[in-house]
Amino acid sequence: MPKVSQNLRQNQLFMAGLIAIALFIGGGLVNASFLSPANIGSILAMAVLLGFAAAGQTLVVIAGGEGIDLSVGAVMSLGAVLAAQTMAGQNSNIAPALVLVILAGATIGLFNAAGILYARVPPLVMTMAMANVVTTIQLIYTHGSPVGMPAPIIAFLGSRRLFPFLPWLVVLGLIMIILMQFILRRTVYGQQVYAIGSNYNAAYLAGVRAATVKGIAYILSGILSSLAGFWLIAYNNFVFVNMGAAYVLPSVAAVVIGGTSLAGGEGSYTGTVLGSVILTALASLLVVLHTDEAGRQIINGLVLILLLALYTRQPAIRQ
Amino acid sequence: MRQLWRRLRATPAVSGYLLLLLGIIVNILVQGPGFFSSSNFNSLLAVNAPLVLAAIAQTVVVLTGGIDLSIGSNMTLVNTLAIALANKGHWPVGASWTVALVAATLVGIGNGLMVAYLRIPPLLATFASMSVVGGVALWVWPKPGGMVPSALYTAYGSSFLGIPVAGWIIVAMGLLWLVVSRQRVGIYLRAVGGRERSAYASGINTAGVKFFAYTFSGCITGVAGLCLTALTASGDPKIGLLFGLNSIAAVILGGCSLSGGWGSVGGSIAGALFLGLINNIVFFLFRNFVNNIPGLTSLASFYQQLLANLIVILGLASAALTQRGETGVGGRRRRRGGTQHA
Repeated sequence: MPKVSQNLRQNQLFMAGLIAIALFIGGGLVNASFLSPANIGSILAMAVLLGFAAAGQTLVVIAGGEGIDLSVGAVMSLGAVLAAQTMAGQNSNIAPALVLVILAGATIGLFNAAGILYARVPPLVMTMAMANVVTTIQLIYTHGSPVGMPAPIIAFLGSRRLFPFLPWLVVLGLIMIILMQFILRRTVYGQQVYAIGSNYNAAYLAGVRAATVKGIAYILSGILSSLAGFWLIAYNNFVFVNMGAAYVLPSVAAVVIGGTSLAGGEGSYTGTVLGSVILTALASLLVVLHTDEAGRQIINGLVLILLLALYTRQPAIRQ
Repeated sequence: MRQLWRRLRATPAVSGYLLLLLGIIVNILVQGPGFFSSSNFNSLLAVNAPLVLAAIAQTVVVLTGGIDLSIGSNMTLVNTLAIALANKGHWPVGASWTVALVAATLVGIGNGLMVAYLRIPPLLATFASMSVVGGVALWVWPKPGGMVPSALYTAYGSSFLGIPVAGWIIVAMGLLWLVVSRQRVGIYLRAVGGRERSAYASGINTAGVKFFAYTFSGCITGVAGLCLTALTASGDPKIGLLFGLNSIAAVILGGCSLSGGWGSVGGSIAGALFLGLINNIVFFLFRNFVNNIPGLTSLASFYQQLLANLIVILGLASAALTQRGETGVGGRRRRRGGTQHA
């Protein structure tokens, strides 16, 4: 029995789930309407959006080598702007919009990968500099005021609900979880990502084309972030500049809270989604408590410190 | 001459110095003789001193293999606190600025406790404290406004003994670092960053050294925040937004390795000045050469930003390339050259 409880405590997925449930119960105690199907539905929908934004981040962090992608927000914004402008409210334009969004994301990912692999700029700095470039490109492209709107089908999927507690976006989120878990666990590529994340040199010596695998992780991250922008306008139904900027650091936090180690080589997308649920539920709880912006930031940070202290502590150097 | 070159190659800061030299040359080319006027030097140093000091603070932490994302919001806290105490609380300016400096040091202590003793990864710990500190700053002074006695900001923008006051502040902080880095703890900083386990095995109190690094960095960040306050002469809860990440960029431009142990404060200062010069160059480039092209004027500021950002990426790439002793593409960072250097 002690062994079981110890296993559970070390299982970060289980811990994250527990914290998420505790947050929902706490919210219900503060205000009963927090647990209404409509509110749960909207929290889940926002969590799915954050989960989309954090999908590429998960891949990059698992691939290791101080991997992190700070361009997620800028790429999301660019994806949103491109999607809105290309769709222009017409169902027939969905396919070209998707192609354009994916190509844009892949291109930025490619530049990130090139900078990190060939110019050996640390990922943190490279992706941050890239984010600045992408943001200014977006400003030039839209002249500061983007136009367009999502196609009706996409807007329907993004903002309507199957049941009060189950928005269509959550259905998409579940498909995304299955897809990401399939890629990570069942494909050769996924296994190679874990391999280079836990020991780059060993993976290289075992015949993994480590640099290629890592580069593809950044390209995939660009594509996934760009697609997250696509769904961001579907959810919001309108577009403005830099709409993805608020997702950058929460996406890192969601990945870490979900049990993916920043050192790389371990973690799962399911955990990331649970982390997104925790962060979104916390933000929503603070809104229910009527805290102002300053209070929200302070409490958010303090809870984050608590969560980090709970389960990202590194082993003592002595061991 | 060749010996000088060899000595330069042996310092980690070579990329920073070369980039700065290149920046200065290009700046002279696009700006013309106006570059050499003393008012130009004055304003260049006054505007860029906050980033330079932030880069020094960041270097101290990066040398131990850590990173500090909270530098930007810490500077905001200093700014808002100094303004709020003097304007809302009617404290004497000296007292409120001292309190702001102490607050910045306390933030550094908090970061140090989290990283060194709670052993939270630095990136995440300082990300969390960034949110807390930013929130406190917003609570202290929610809207832009407030003012600084005119004597203070005119003094900050003027020069003393022919050197701008902002330059004196940078020199003072640089000397402070020089003194600290000659102490035992300054040497231990690099040892911990180079290989923490070996440092621990040779009897260094690694947690204590890291704690010191974050505290010292917090204190310098406080000075950076005060310079920013003297420069803008008002309080703004969003003022420090860019300094956290820009200071990291400056450190990389200056040739530091983010994995620790390798780098120098001089290089980081050069990197920060290079970042400042880029804005200058792009500004004069557009004013003197590009603005004649019709149709570009409405978007000129966006194109200026784009060009500046692209130059930063090129600088980052070349700085990373000149870092010595690294293994092949994406390989684990290793160094041939030891960690002993000034």
